[in-house]
Amino acid sequence: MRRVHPVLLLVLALGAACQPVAQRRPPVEEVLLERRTQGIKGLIAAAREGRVVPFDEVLVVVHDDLVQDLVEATLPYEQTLADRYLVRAESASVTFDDGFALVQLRGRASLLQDRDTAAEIDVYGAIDIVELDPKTGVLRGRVKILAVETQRVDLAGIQAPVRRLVDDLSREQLSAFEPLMSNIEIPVRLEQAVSIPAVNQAGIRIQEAVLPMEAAVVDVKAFRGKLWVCVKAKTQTAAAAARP
Amino acid sequence: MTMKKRWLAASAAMGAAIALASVAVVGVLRRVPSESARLRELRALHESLQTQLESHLRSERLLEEDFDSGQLTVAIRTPYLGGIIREVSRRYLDRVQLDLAPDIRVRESGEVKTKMLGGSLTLGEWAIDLRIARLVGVLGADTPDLSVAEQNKVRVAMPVRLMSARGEGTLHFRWDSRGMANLACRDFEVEERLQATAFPDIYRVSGAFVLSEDRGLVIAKPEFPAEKYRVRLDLTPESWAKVEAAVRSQDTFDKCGMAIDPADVLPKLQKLASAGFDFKLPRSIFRSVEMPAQFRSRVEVQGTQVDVAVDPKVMRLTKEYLWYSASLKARIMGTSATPAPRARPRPRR
Repeated sequence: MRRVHPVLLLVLALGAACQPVAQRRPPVEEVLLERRTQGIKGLIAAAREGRVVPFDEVLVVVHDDLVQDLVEATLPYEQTLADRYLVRAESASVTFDDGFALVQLRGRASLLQDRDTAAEIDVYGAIDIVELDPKTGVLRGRVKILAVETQRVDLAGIQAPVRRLVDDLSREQLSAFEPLMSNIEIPVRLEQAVSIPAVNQAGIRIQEAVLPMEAAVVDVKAFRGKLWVCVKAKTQTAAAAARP
Repeated sequence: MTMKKRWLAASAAMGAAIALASVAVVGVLRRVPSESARLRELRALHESLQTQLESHLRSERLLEEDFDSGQLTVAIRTPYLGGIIREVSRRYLDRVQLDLAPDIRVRESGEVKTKMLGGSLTLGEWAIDLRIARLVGVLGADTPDLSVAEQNKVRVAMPVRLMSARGEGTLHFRWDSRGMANLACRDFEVEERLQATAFPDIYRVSGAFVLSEDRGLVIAKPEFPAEKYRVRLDLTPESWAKVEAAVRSQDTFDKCGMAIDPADVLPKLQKLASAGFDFKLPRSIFRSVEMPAQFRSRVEVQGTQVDVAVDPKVMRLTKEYLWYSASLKARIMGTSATPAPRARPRPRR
């Protein structure tokens, strides 16, 4: 067996140690703090105008533990990402504070072709858009990925494939993790019409009355563990929706 | 191996070990970076902003409400809610078509007497029976007045107009001779078909809508007492002419009709008819109205259908808002307590 020269070994080892750090995303804590400070600034600005919760017609208040409960109900689940990785989401945490609706998923990421090469993964997302589904009228939050953090499962050993996995995951575009978090429906629905059915019995005939309604989310705030969703709703005027 | 070679090999091995340790240390250092100035700055800013925000939020009146009675609260401003009830009621009762069989009866009768041999002799008894068997009409409601009352009620006072009504029925005229008159006078009966119209009137219909929760829906249930409303009728001129003709046709000697004066009887009948009859608005015209914001028992979360058990907690109606909240428990239908991981469908965005 041919021996590797010890000096060469030394050079290789030092080379690995001095390898420049790959293009990495900013630290998760920094990203989250940036969002929190932005969120609080927005809340303070709204408070100065006396419109922290601009509730004029309909207000929906959602506790973060409800949304966490909803997400947890779907766990565990597995999702293939970028045709390379398999992520198993195992736990979730949702907090609505500081003007920021944070959804965090924790799980295990592995190579699709080698499940033993795995790392812990935390995916952080924000419910950035809250809207009413135009078809069903159900309130829906859309999650945008903000940050991803990966850690080796086994810190004691040095496993090159695991290290590569962690490095590769840390270099992936955030959009690659989007399939992990998408839409979360809130169990509230705003009807698009109020109606009373027709009557035709015992000598009484009344046509069905339908009052079309338009509703749209106009303001969303996250603080004190709740999401405050203000909905602007209006009924169509009598003239516009007169009976035929 | 010479001593020198052994020493070289040991040195190389030690160097390799140091290098590998360096790799590990650098790796660890990479993993636990020292806290940056930016991070410290952000933390301080965050803390200061939080203090400012709390002082602002303390003055928010809305936040004094109990938002912790349920995990999900829906509040609707009362003026907006009133607008919905008002507009729906107005539209719904804008044109109520009635085709009823009220069996309205108006009766008038009298005795005809004559003086004879220093006394009074009853010649007979007459009776007029006006019967309205069918009433076809249209009711229309104006915009109701609403007010918030206790026990989650919205009181409603609604003007309802009887826009038009037409009745169909019969006139039954009967003469029954008595005693000696039986010898000279004949009994008789006449029946004619009649038509009547109702006087246009406005009725003040009062009741309430009671707001309650039912399986995630907020429903305004009508609570209207069975009040009676008076409908005043008049025969059509053609029908009056028929009545008058019937009375006059009997005003002949052999029918002892000379004692029945049409000029006396007809105004009596008119007065009776126009006094009207009591009419109850059918209960079926008041219907429940589902409020537009509802809790849902099934939602889609990250591409998965999740069932939600809704446990209603609070419902309160004040002059400012209708407030209802619920606690919810989510679960996926048909799953065991420790489900195997599922591959998710690609979520829709």
